[in-house]
Amino acid sequence: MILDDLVPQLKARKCKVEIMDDAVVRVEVNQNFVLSHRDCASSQVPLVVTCRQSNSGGAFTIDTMNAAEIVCEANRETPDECAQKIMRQLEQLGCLSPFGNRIENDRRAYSEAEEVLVTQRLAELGYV
Amino acid sequence: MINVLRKNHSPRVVVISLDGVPYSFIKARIAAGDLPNFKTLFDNGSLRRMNSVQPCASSVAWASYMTGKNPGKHNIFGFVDKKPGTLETFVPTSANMMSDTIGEIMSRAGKKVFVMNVPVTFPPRPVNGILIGCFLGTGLEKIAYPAQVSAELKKMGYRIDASAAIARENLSRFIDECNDVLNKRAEVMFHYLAQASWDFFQCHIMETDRMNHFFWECAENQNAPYAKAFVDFYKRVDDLIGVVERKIGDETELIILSDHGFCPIKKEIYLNRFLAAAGLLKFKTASPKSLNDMQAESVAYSLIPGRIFINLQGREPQGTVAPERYEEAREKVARTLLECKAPDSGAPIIRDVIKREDVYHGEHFSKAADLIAVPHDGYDLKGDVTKLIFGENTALTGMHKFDDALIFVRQREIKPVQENLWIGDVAPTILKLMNLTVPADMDGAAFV
Repeated sequence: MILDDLVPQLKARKCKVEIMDDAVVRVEVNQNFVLSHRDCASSQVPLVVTCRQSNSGGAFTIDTMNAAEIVCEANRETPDECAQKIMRQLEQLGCLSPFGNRIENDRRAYSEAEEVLVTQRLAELGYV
Repeated sequence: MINVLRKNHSPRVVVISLDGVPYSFIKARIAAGDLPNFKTLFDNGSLRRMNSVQPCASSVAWASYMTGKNPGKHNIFGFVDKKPGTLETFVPTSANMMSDTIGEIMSRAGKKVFVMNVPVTFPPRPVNGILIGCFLGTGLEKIAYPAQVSAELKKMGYRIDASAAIARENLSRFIDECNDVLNKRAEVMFHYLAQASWDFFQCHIMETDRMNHFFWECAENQNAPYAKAFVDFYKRVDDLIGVVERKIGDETELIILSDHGFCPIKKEIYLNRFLAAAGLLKFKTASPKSLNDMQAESVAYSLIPGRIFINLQGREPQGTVAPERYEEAREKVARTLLECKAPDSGAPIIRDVIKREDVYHGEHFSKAADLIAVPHDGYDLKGDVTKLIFGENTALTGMHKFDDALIFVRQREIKPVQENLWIGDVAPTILKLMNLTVPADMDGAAFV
């Protein structure tokens, strides 16, 4: 589920997240924007994100689709890729600051070979 | 008129951070006449001794510097850490640092930032400006934000770090190595000092720590081999400081700081071997390869430097110490550590054992070691479980020291809020100097 990846990242950026039903989440991104999206990772329907002020309450229409700033192809992109794409786009749209408010990134900073190299360098300094 | 203009200027700050340079050492070399630029600066500004953090490791200290927070909040507890729920270790990076840095706070406020080589800035996190990552980087390709800066660095022949492997083979070549890396660092620093747009500029010199680890006997004995080369290296650092001061002029604040002191190593101590000899740690094999070879009935084990974990049921993968016996186990381990003696001299090795709740708080508190063993000067605590000996001497001659870091501010008087300054006080101080709001969750307090 995309929400599993996306919601913790949004909360870490101090966004107020409200899950309205199983499929729709509304997020106060900042004072001016509301983000809504339908989590349809398991369907063939494109995921739609709009970060304009919206009172649609989750009622997605063709108009909503056309107005969307971000569209994820849930049948081609993994939930993690969708979440990263949404976060990156929100930063580029100016809805989120790209600076700081991190969540711990458990994706590896290193490949296995790089980690061996760094650990060896730390060992030479007496740090491991 | 000039004063009116200055008031209208957005305040700018330059930080030169010198890894592992002790307050007492710089004072001594100034007194010996070796560091004229430091002398002029320090005679005309405010210089104080400063405390580091526990444990006294550069990754932890610079994370506290950048965030103004204790490790329980920023989540960096050492050069290596444990993957939760396992006995596997990993190298913590900026991806694990769970707090905003001053560079990120400035960026959100629209300030332009240039940060270079500060420990735990790899992988580089976005800033409003340029960030060149630290020695945890594995190559120039991924060292910088924005990515195109990497190509510039490559063109300039930038070097991330001196290779300590050289020191283990040939000390003379290692001096050349440190000088070469310092030269490249200075060249790139002056390039961006002139070319980049910045309100905050920091260059971190790592080579001082590298030299101190392998040549610290030269700091205390002018007849030691390489003593002249060691002092010459510091004269080059002094020259560099002088050029920075002249280039930035009077209207920019200049801060110089280090993250910890240094002292000579008497012995490197393998604390897990001591815990094993005391019956508190047992291995399944006579030649353990990793902590995974630990037997379940073990009471405690150690990660570098001096971090002690109780083998707690429910937390550790093979934990057998019941939660209701946790305090009893901690007391026993602490008492045993305080009895640890050097086999050759009988001198005590551990000066103090700190409970984690006495130095850490915050949302990552649960990842902290249960106890921090603080050594007497000269006993460098290691965590290597493959070592079957209690202690030894290697090519390393200097080790970190908690209470002898330095902080200098050129144009303001340092007025500590508490009796002892600590490195976490620097972040709120810099934000205050730049007229930015200090976040309420910072642990440090501005000292100007």
